[in-house]
Amino acid sequence: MLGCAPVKRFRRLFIANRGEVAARIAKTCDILSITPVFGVSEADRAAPYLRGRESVVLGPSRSSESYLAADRIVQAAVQTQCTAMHPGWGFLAENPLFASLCEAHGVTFIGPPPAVMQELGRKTPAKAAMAAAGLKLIPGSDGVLRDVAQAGEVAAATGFPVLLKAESGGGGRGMRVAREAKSLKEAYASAQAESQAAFGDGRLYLEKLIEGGRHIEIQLLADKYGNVVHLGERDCSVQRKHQKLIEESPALVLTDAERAHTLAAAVRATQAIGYVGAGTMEFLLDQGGELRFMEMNARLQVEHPVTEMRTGIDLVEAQIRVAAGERLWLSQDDVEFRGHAVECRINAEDPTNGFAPSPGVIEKWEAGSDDKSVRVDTHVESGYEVPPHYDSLVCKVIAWGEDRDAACDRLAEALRTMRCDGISTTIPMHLAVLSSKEFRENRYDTRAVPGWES
Amino acid sequence: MSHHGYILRVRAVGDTRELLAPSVGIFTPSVAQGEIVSAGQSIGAIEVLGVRRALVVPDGVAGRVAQRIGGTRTRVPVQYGDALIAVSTASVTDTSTPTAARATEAGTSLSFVAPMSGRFYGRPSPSEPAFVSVGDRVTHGQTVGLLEVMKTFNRLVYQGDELPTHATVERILPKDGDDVVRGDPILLLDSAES
Repeated sequence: MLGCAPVKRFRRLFIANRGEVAARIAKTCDILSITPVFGVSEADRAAPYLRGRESVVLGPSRSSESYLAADRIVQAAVQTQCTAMHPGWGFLAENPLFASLCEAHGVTFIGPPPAVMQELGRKTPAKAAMAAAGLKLIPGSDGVLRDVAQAGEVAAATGFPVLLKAESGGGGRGMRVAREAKSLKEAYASAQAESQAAFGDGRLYLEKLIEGGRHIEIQLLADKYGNVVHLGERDCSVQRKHQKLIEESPALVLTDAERAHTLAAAVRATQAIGYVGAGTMEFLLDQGGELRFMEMNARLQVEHPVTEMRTGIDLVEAQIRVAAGERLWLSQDDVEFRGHAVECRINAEDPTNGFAPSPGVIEKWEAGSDDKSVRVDTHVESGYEVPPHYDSLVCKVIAWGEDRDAACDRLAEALRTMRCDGISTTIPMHLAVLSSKEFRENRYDTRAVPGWES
Repeated sequence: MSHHGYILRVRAVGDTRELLAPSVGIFTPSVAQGEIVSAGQSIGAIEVLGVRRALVVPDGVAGRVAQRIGGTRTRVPVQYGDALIAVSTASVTDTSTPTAARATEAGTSLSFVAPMSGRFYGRPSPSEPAFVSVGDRVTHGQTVGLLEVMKTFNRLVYQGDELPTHATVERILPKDGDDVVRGDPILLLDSAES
């Protein structure tokens, strides 16, 4: 932690997000003596995390008229005299037009420059930059595909199965698997149609499908002057339908050599593209033990506390300081990695019923553990109503331990004492995973949740 | 830039209809307190990053603007759902009520009395200045207050044969919101020409 040297430029910071991340950002604002102003929707106007805070109602509960309404958000920031904008994650966090709009109206966007964000949002230029910096890629097309015939040629060269992906995609949409040549045409057409509908861009690229891999990511931090450090890696392989459920650091499945090589290359690549702020590179660990670059997320990640617990660095503070023009205060050698950290995302979903959404009133909430090595990040309390309009994240529980087993044991203990009555949550699933042999022995991959039949 | 206007959403509070801000932004009103508004009329605009959109009174709403957000300010930062104006649907009569006056026992002093029973208001709305204050000179035809009778606001107009064309207000007897009965003195006046 940097301590409490004041941030020179910002007195008031606008939070263009809701729920857990909004509460998280405000916590760091408090430490830095910055007044946070929350932009909220009608559905959230009475949320408990806004008590005693400044807030502005942007529009109705529908996100397109509130949390996704870039013009309303920037107007609200200007009229409440905020000079910085934190977008959180999701919503407009990786929208270069929103970032530009902020800058055009004198509000500093906390994130990378819009041009860099634009480049990262389009997948194939980002991959070319990463390859030039020495990162390995998943074999596939060199840029976007001209047509299905070219897709056939590339697929023949890489070998089936292959994955067709949207050039402007994200969130698992616009993706189709083709297991053999004869299914390629149909997969191409349907991926193209979905991409066009979802992102307004029907262009596709192709990658060899890596099955049974692990999802590894690297946390990076860069200032405006070309200084970059990595804050280690995270293993986010416990997933269901491309949604992360459990994240941890370090990733013990990596060899020391592969880890060191990739971390160094990730830092070089971050420098090369002129990245600024906190960012995350996502990789797939293939069966040969090699990390292959997938994409870079130009924002704070949901699972950032895992890294904070291991390094003691407040990533939101780092984002704000870097955005204010401060230089990175640490070199790579100053970053210390201690022990092991594991995070569970607790969602308002019923894991025994196909993870069906479970909005409603939390009648009784108790975070439980007062263990200093356990951190609970949340925006809820007893009586809070989980609205049906937004995502299902209720809280995150992060435990630190001297080693992986100690962290997992602490985490399980914390989950057992947590109370969240009135709605269904994923706590039972997390307890099952944490006590499963597959998870404890680290023998699983992204295809199935270890220790949980669903 | 040309943009469609917003038809305003309405929240009913008793006899009052609040017209609600459709977005965060800067409200630039074009109607003042006390004015009559009706469906289809614009009450001003909302500005979001420099883009102005007209704000239109929806069908079924008509009445007197009893309150306006920001008082007399011309650019008011608002959030979604704020009541921009409150429209009192109690109808406003445009014809003034018959007034009455009588000389008081004090001899030199005159009083302007309530022409009927009702609730007295000395100002068009709580945040606006009074129609008349002590020391003001009143003239025939001038509005000196409102009297709410059966949900109808009646203007109290200073006039009548028993009252001089000009007079000076010495005292205002009822307070805002006080109930008065017919014949109760409202203003004590001095008719002496100064």
